[in-house]
Amino acid sequence: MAIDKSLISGNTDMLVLRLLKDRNMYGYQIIEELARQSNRTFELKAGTLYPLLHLLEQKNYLESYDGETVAGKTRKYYKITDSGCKYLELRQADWESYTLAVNNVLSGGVLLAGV
Amino acid sequence: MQEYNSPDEYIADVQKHIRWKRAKVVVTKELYEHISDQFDFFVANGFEESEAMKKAIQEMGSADVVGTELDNVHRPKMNWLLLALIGLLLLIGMTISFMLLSTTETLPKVYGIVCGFGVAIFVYYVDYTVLIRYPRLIYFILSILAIITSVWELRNGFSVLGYSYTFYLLLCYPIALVGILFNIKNSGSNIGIVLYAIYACCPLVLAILNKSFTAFITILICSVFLLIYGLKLNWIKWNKLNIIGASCIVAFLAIFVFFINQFYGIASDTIHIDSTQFYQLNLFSALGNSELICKSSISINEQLLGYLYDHPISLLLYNYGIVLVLFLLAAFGLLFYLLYKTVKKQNTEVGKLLANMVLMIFGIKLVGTLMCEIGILPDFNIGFPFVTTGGVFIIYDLALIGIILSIIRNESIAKDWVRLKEKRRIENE
Repeated sequence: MAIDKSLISGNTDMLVLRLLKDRNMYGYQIIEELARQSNRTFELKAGTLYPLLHLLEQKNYLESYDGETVAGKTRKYYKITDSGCKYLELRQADWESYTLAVNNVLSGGVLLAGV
Repeated sequence: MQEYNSPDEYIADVQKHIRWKRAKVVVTKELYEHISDQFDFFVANGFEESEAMKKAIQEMGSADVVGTELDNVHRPKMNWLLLALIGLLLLIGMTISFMLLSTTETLPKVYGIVCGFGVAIFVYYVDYTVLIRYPRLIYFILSILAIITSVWELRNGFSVLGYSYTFYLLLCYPIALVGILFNIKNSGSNIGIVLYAIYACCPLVLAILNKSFTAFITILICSVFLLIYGLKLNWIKWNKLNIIGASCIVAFLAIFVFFINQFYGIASDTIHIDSTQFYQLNLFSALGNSELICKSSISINEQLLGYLYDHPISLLLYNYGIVLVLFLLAAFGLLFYLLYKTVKKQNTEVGKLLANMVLMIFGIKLVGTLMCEIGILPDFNIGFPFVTTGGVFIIYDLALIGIILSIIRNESIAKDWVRLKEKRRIENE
């Protein structure tokens, strides 16, 4: 499904951190998993993902280590850190407030009518 | 989008946009791996190999965009606040020297600053992973130099109070021992603690033979820190037999020093607290008689005036008042905060340990000087880093700052860089 990229771009870090909260993954796996969980709505380019992963690692939200894949290849795995988890919680809370506000407007204020 | 036939062509185009040479190889390694995974996927789904490769590269996105993004993330970093702080401390030190000392005494300091910045720039650009790639070589070169200067100075009588070139070489051991610790870790030796005891004790013996209390304390504290660190992470393997072995080495070296002392009298005043070197009218007296921002009206022990390097606080209090001293202490507080932050930020063990060593060496200098002022240590012969130290010491201090700036510079790629170097080292072995 094609979607306006600007809707995703500011929130890619949140999506990546959320995926890594469940299990440690390497770049290729992250793209595959994101596409699978979003029913192919979010199909990240590798060129977008790696700079983002490196940036999150610099900010200490992620840690990397060399791990082995099922096929026996060595890949750079990413793991969410404690500060990454805290940042994710904040981002999720922001996102929920944002979507609630957007939904309110889109529903013509119906959601707030009872308040 | 441009069409590529091989990953090399694509990666070469990405690398064109990454300005930092060292980052080029390190940060594009993952892109190779990604193309390989994507290629495998397409081949498994029935594509011809050439077609699969083209598609896999196409999936990566524009090389120009990827390169530019990676360039934005991976830039050599610089801590300008730290650099400005060092500049400020050097400036204060120079001003004090010009005002309190003669030109002859101040000139070496000027040369020291010029040479020191040269050394710092050199260290800044040197790849600090050499320390973990050639640890024994570095250790042995340092030891040979220290032994040569030591013998020369002992014969020519330049080792008074440990103020010699051997002294500065000895102060480089904490840095060299970081590499040794990695060497012991990588070798996986079962007698790790025995090896570490040998490596750590040799400079300690040299420090004693050179009558250098300061070097002895510095190496002792740093090597014990590294030992605890190594034991905690299980890098240094040990058992009861090894502990006995390591204790025997320490005991043997202690006996060796004792006999050398007995027969040759080399270490006759080693770590000897001479009461005449204490100044009874020191810090407390100076504090009580100080003005806020000008010279004290009440004269204190004038003998102190000749000891700017050993009793900086008393002297500065007497000459300039409490405000300058408080300002200096605040500046050192900021320096230690910045060094501590650097330690905390490191994601590689080598970066963390090196930054820790620098922090500890500066810490020992500052605490040692303060203890000396209060009178609970004999002359520490060090003074405040950058402010009240001589020319050679400024070179040493700036070299340490060069190490810290080099660590900060490589922060964004350090982990991958160290990993790559480690891999090459293992392949070479």
